[in-house]
Amino acid sequence: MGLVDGKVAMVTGGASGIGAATSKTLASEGASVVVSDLNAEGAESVARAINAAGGTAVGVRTDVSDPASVQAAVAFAVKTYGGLDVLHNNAAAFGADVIMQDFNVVDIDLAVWEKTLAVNLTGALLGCRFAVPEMLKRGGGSIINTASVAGWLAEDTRVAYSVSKAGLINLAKHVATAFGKQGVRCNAVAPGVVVTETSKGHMSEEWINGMKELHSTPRLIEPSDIADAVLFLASDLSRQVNGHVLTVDAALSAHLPKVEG
Amino acid sequence: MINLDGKVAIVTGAASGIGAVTACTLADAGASVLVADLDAAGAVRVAAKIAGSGGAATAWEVDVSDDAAMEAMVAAATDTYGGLDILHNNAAASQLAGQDHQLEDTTVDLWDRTMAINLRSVMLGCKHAVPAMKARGGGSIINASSGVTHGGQHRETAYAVSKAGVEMLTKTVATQYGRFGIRCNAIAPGVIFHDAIRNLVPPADKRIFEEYTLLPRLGEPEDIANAVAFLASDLAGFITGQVLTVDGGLHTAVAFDAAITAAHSEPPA
Ligand SMILES: NC(=O)c1ccc[n+]([C@@H]2O[C@H](COP(=O)([O-])OP(=O)(O)OC[C@H]3O[C@@H](n4cnc5c(N)ncnc54)[C@H](O)[C@@H]3O)[C@@H](O)[C@H]2O)c1
Ligand SMILES: NC(=O)c1ccc[n+]([C@@H]2O[C@H](COP(=O)([O-])OP(=O)(O)OC[C@H]3O[C@@H](n4cnc5c(N)ncnc54)[C@H](O)[C@@H]3O)[C@@H](O)[C@H]2O)c1
Repeated sequence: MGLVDGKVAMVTGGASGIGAATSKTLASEGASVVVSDLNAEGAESVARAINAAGGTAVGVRTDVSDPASVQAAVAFAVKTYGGLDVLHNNAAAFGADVIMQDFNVVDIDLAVWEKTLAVNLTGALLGCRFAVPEMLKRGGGSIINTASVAGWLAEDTRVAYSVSKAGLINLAKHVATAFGKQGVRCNAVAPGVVVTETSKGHMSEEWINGMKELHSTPRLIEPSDIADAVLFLASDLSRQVNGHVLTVDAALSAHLPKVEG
Repeated sequence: MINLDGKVAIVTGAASGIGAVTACTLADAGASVLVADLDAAGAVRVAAKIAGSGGAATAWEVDVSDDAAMEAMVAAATDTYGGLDILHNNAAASQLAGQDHQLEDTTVDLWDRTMAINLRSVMLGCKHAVPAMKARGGGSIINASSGVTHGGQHRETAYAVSKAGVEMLTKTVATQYGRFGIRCNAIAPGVIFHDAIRNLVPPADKRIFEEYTLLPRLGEPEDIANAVAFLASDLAGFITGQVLTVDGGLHTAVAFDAAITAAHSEPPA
């Protein structure tokens, strides 16, 4: 028996990295998965891999920053699989033109700020807006926002990204508060540094090794580590967990840096 | 379901309440469980229940505040089952709650006994489990904290401070032993209604908990047991140093905001 047997799940940003891993994990534990992404081809290829492995999935092109597109994606999930139980708000604007231009408050271009908030934060609001009514029809559901330890710890750069992640944490608490009594749970998962195909492109070997030092476990975080945490939050095992931020960071944010000498 | 086949677990305070249900859940998931408690007869009952449904369990009498007894408890698990993978430090001095008041009325004796049973116990459990887990290449420790650490408390001064200590100890163990594959997390339940306390909670208080819990129902021991099983399992393989709140949202909403909203929505007298 799977942990999410019979549930219908939608994963945004499902074409790559953490979203692709979550789509596969939820499917292998029995959910029917709508793999939603701006990258339609990537979403379809993840869905194909799931179906080839005996799971149930379908890809759909979605721009999470566009209300009509999100509404259509949720309607598509309902039409295809009969309802919606799980939403993983995971898409983020990680293109080099955005994340590599996301500097401090003095230097950041306003267009970069707006793009980041539109995709990372407004995208999740829209996901909740259209998913909650569908979940209420089923008597409840579970929404998981991908936040980050950057949501409460600051860097000297990437202000838009961090602020969007802080917003995702409070958005989860808001939805938990507003709709929990009607059975809709909402939580956030906060990864530390996860090495994905996309992130490898942005990070130097040196930086990755430095990060390894700051994480307390023997290896760095992989997308499947986050997928397993999302699986828990999606499943009934977490049925009394609501408004929580589940940090998956190998204690990165639990300790002060160790200085030798 | 969660798979703990072949793993060896110790649950302290396992004779009643949350600990008893957690011991059963871990055994159902395939772990061999040392059911440890000061209440030896209760531990025997829980171990027998597990054995009766085909699981592996051994009852063990322990005073969790006692260094030698905790060392012996870990040795009992490794002697009986060949090693130790999971430790759930769950025992707490619920029996002292009735004497745990505001600061001015807190006696040194009550303070020291609470710290010994709630906090020293967790330090001792971790201290003796770490070498056994190192020998296996890793393990998972889950400490029982409480939602009380979310804010200042009007009562139960010693209890609240002991649980704050449990959370810092959790992060410290995670930081020091992560490199050995040992994960250490805490669980913070909100209010969990189980047989031992169900009838002790006045109906008026129960109504308040129902009102402030964001989900349609109150928490049950199974809710905590499932979270412990998750943290014990490889599904949580990268989660360490965390406090997992399992409270149905009890501590998420701003309480006074609800009171103000309610006041404004009341029809004028
Ligand atoms: N990788 C890390 O270290 C890390 C750390 C903390 C948090 N996160 C978060 O995890 C999530 C996934 O990150 P990842 O590392 O897997 O990144 P990724 O770049 O591999 O995946 C992001 C996906 O979102 C999609 N996307 C971008 N804009 C979109 C839009 N407007 N509409 C729909 N889809 C869109 C992309 O096409 C891509 O498939 C993000 O929310 C990210 O902020 C990642
Ligand atoms: N029930 C709740 O609402 C709630 C809420 C938050 C946190 N918690 C925490 O969860 C844990 C379990 O709580 P519970 O409600 O199941 O409590 P409980 O009183 O039902 O169980 C506690 C167990 O610990 C044992 N114990 C007490 N002193 C001991 C000692 N010195 N050595 C060994 N065993 C000893 C008792 O015999 C008992 O079996 C505790 O740590 C508690 O603080 C409970």
